[in-house]
Amino acid sequence: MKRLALAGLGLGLGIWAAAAQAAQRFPPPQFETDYQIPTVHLSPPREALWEALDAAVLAAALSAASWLVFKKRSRRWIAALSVFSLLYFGFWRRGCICSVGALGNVVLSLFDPSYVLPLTAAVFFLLPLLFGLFFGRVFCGAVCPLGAIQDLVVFRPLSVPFWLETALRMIAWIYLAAAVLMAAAGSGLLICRYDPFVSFFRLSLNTPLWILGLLCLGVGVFIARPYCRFVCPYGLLLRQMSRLSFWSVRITPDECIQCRLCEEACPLGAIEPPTAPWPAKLLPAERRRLGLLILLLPLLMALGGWIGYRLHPVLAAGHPAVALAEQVRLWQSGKMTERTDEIRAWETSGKPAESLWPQEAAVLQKFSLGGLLAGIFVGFAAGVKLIQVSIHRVRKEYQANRAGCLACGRCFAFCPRQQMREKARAVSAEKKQVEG
Amino acid sequence: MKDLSESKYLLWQNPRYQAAVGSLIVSAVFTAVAGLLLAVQVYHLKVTDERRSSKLESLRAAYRTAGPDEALAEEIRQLDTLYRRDHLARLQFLRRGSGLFVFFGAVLIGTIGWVRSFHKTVPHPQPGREQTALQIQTARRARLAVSVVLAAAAGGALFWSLRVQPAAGEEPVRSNPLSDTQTAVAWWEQMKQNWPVFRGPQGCGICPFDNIPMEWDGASGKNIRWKVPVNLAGHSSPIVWGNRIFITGADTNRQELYCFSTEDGTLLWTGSVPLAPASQRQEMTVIEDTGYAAPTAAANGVFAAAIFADGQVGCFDFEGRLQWVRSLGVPISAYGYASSLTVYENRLIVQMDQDYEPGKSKLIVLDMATGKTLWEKARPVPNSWTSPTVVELNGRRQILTSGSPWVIAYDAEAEAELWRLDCLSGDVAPTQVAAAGLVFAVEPYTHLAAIRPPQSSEANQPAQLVWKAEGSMPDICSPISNGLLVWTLETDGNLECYDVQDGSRLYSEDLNAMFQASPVLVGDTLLLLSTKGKMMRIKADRVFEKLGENELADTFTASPAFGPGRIYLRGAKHLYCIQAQP
Amino acid sequence: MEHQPSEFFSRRQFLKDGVWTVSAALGGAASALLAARSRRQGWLWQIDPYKCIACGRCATHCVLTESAVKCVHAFALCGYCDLCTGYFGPEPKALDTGAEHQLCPTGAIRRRFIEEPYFEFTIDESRCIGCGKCVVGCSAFGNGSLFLQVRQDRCLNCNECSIARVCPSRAFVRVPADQPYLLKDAAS
Repeated sequence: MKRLALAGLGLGLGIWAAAAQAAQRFPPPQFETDYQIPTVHLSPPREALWEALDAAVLAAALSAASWLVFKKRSRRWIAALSVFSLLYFGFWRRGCICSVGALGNVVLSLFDPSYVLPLTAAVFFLLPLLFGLFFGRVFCGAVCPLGAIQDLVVFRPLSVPFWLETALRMIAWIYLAAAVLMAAAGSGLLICRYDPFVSFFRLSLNTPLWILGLLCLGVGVFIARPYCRFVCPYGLLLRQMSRLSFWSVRITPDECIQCRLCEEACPLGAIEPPTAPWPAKLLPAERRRLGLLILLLPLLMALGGWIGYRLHPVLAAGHPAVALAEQVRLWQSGKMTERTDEIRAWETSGKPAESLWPQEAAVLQKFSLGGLLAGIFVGFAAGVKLIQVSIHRVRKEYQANRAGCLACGRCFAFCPRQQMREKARAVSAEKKQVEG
Repeated sequence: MKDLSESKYLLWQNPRYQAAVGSLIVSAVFTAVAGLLLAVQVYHLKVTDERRSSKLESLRAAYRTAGPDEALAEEIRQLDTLYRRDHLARLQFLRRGSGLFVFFGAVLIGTIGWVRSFHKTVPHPQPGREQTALQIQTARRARLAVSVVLAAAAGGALFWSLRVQPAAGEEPVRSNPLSDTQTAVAWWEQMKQNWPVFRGPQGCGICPFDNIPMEWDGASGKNIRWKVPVNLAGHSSPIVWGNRIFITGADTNRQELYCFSTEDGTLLWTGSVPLAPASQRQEMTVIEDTGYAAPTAAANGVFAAAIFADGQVGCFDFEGRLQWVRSLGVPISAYGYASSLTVYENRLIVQMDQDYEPGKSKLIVLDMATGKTLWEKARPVPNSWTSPTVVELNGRRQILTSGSPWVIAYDAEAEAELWRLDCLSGDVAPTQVAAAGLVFAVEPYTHLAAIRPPQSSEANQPAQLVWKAEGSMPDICSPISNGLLVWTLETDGNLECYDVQDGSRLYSEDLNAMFQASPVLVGDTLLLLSTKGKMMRIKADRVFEKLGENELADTFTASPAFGPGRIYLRGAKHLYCIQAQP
Repeated sequence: MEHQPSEFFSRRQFLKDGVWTVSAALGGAASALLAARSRRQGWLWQIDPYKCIACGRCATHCVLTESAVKCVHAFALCGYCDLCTGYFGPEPKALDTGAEHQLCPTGAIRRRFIEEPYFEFTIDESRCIGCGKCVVGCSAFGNGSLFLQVRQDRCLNCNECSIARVCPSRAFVRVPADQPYLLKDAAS
């Protein structure tokens, strides 16, 4: 064997040795001419300045929207601002990043230690919520590009009855739960994936998303802003902020004279008429029902949790680790005969199949807990909604529903008090001019 | 009614309204036309261009397989230019057109707003309904609607969850195709009709097939059926089962098992076996002459397994699906791990001889279907480069192994050592062979030993050393025997022949060539493949007689493998199939 | 607006103010925490060339009509082979620039004679569609000097990259904005 080693040197296996020892099969040539090996030049990313600018523009737009809604009270200007937002955040910045999608980034950063939240995403997520705490949903009305594009096509709004609106909003709650679960478990950002308008903003050729977007806009001609009202998960957060908001949008600049002229003004059905006090003879029955519904709440939560838990293998199926393990299982058992790219990639990675099962099991475990919690959350939301619709509130004047009002300002012009105020202003301005 | 139509009439008379409606119609038409044109282009981009590129692809493939065809080449060039120009034009059209479409759309929306501004109606509140009844009704409906949505969601979710397979999170259950005894008996016979391990059935180097071509020529291509490149290099030999050839190859980055078709040499699949961790691989000593893929793979008809210099074993089914990977630890070996795998039914046998002193060496038997260890036994030997062989001796199937100093036989059926004999020393590399009830083992440079295993199956029967023949013994090539004679072949070309009866040397002949491939026996002819590609035909007789030689210009270190009527040779970069052409 | 001087101290108003203050405080705290945990620098998408198997999905799954992923040639790794397996299809009949021999579906690789026996191969970026056919050819039989990268000047940096979602080898990773490319180099 020792002689073997010596003999091998004389055997002319030079090529083999090169192949065996170096990653490079062919060594870089020694050029005799004065050829210089070119260096690779790759263009740098777009300026990081844009991101800082985006945050600044967002802050400015939110401030402007608040001023327009509360001081200027002009639908025209609010609409102009929303067109600007559509052009800037939508078509110019191509829809990314937006506050609705930033929800996914925030959740991801909370659960994935390797993902540190970029400041821009944090600002986009937080700023509209903070403004919401003070001014209500001014973001929805004039800053959100997804809202703005739908707002453009509100041509023949039909009024959606309150009960239907409330029920359909459950979709948003389920979507929120699913989006948070997926982002937390590492399955991806659901909200961004199914953003119906981002294909318009990017002018990209994703046919299913174009159809979804056109559908949304088509429905939006008759049912104003369907995505905002029934789907948008970020809108739900803003609703809760708006419920608490320090100032809220008022239809009339000063007092309601019960003229009922604004009754049909809101395409979103957010204007609530005054209510009569509840007849005393109905009160015991209502109280009993309320009690029952409160008892139902934990039951609904348990039911939701059970369903969410049962659903976890389905929910986890899209996770890359689970999907890969499933493919490898099918491949190894011979049920799948086509060697997919995933199988090729897995084989190239050199990870043994045994290492996939624990990963898969870990993800499934995450999803079983996550599915349980998400289900409980949806059950809770439904239960609270049932209680909410059964509570009777007394209103003395026509009011914008705090949660439902998107601060679009359409109702302002319908109020005679507003008209009077504007006229008075015009007169005083004229006077000033004359004096001047 | 009259008022209404009159107001409508007046509206139509308004020139500004006319302008608004006109611009609405114009912008709607523009938007529709732009959208339609864009849709057509998108269709072409996604469908036509796709079809065109696949057409071009098939033309190129046709050009490759056909003979020289200048017309076809010219057609490909012209189509290529045309298609590419069209595609780029389409992309540019889309870029500009989509911008225009958005612009028209915006104008359309604006004009719709303009037209609507003429239709504004003054709010006209109707007498309200009785509020309390309305509130009660709304609350009831809302409760009902929420419940309906909730029930629908829950029902949908439950239905969805029922469709899920319960297997997730568990390992796949694999059937073991070779488990019952009946197939096991058949397996032994089947194995004899294939070339499943290093040096063929029972590792004896004897070709079980007829019609093996005896003449070929690389230069003229005579009797060379096909020749295909092998991606990664390796000194390991081909093995054959049915219509599949398996070869291993490796470098510092990759370890692969290739499966080729016997018919035309098509690479059917490549299986990757992961590397051991880099930290462990750094400890590895691998000389150039051993390389990273010296051990030959093994196949049992259902699975094929390969081991590499870093002790990583991977097992694939015949379709190339990875079944399992085992890390047996990077072997400590003076020249690099080289022992080939062998199989017995569903058992994969690994001779893990390592370290410079006895203590770490083991014989490991793995379940070929699952990769689980069935049993393992410590071996009192240091590192060796021989391969285990499974042979039938005295009606008993046993695993033969050689190390320094022991030749040890284990029961192939059960976890037991059958016999051992102290007859070797130094760095042992040639693999033992069995013939005429004897086992022949080689101690490099010194002697050839003939061992008679115990006849009865009783335990504690000693094996006997029948004779020991001194001579210039090989350090790489394994011996070969036809039951009457034993031949040894040295690396530098010294062929020696011994009598099985008494170990007397019958001849010693210098062949003037270098050899690393082990000799094989086809009928009455010994085939000796030199590293430079000369295949020498020697008559298997008591006197030396050279029948002839064939040339194939390549470097050969792997031993030949056989299929019915065919020889498979692995060169430095290619795999050859030799078959007599009618 | 809402907070006009009330005639009497309403319990409801008090409760509301309390809830508002608590939520504002919580919101402020959460914002501060999030802001503190965030960092100024953003993320970009990039392909880890050592994981990429050049499956070709980059060419088809990008939201851009013309993918943001294109091929990069690391000249320092290149063997300058005459028979470049990233340039030529399998078993080319002649080693020239005829379209019939080429592997690239868009003819985006330029072949230029340097000196005997070396040829330089350059990627024409405007033509490259990121299909990775040349990458497969080069890594199977050559040095692997051709590989795919996300062109950061083209990439829209979507929040969820639609190629990353379908990448079979999970080679798409988020990289810090100041290290926008993951290049192969001769040292590694």
